[in-house]
Amino acid sequence: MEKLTLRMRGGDSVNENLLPFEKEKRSVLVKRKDAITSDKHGCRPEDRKTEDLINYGIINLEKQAGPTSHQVTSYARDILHVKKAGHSGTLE
Amino acid sequence: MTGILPIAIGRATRIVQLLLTAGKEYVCLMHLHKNIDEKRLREVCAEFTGKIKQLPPVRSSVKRQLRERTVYYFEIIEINGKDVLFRAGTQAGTYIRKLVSDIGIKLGGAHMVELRRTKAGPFSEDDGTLATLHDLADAWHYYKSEGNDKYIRHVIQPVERAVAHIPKIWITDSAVESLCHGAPLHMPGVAKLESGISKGDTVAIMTLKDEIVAYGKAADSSEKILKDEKGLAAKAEAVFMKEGTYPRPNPR
Repeated sequence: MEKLTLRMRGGDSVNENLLPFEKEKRSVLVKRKDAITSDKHGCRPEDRKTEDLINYGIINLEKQAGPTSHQVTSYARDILHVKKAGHSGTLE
Repeated sequence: MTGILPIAIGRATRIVQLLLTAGKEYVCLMHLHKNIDEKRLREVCAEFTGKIKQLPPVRSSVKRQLRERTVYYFEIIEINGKDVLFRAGTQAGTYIRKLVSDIGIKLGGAHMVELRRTKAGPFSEDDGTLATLHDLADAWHYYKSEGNDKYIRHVIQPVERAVAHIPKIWITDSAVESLCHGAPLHMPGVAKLESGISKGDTVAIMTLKDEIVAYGKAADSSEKILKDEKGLAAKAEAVFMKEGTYPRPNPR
């Protein structure tokens, strides 16, 4: 059983299973070939300043056993000193 | 229970709505109460693939009535006596503990021993971005005490990462500001879009710099939005971009 538990982390089976959205193949349809964006406004997500990222980001958090999803979320909020945080569905 | 729990922070918080409703994947260790022939076990597990009826558990956040959920895939990874390790991809709101106990009803009993979530919408455990609370605290320390933002920028990803699974409509710079004020998106504001959108689908509305402006519902199909110059393309439900990020279009 210990062996099975260890194998919950990745394991050696190849996971070829896909969720519905992972199977969708979408192409980009261009409506306005001439549309360009000005460098004067906005900012590419990867170029966002760190202070902005911290108040406007998402963490792919590894929840460990013990605390509830709600508790984990409030710990993350406190660590980063942000006012709000929310999780993507309980994992209890 | 362990595994991935994407957390949105600060102004990104409301994006979790798009993850709550997204498909999930779990690896689960099920313990059978009786020795079961492998063929029979596989048959019963196959019965719990596709559309299933499930009664939410007593302690749950939803109304307790039988509801249909979809199990997209159910793969037995390993069988060791009464222990069965399986991987399942499920519709949002599928209770795995309940799934295991329902399988058990057909096999003389079963319970969930361990559960690990391996996917939540576009997030997975093997995409190189998984971080523990400990990693987060360390990253914060490096950033605040040493002015090194390398780790925090790895651990915290842009909010746009959370809409990777949602079809997108990109809009012109001049269409951005009115959306930030709550106006719907009109056809002329669309610069490009993804194929396969149907009327009523949830879409992410993006700038041409790939920043999220809002998410909402498509008011028409991809084909119509591509061709039409009049009418609504989408209605925003939650706006993320701050007003004033892009200028108001010049009055003509």
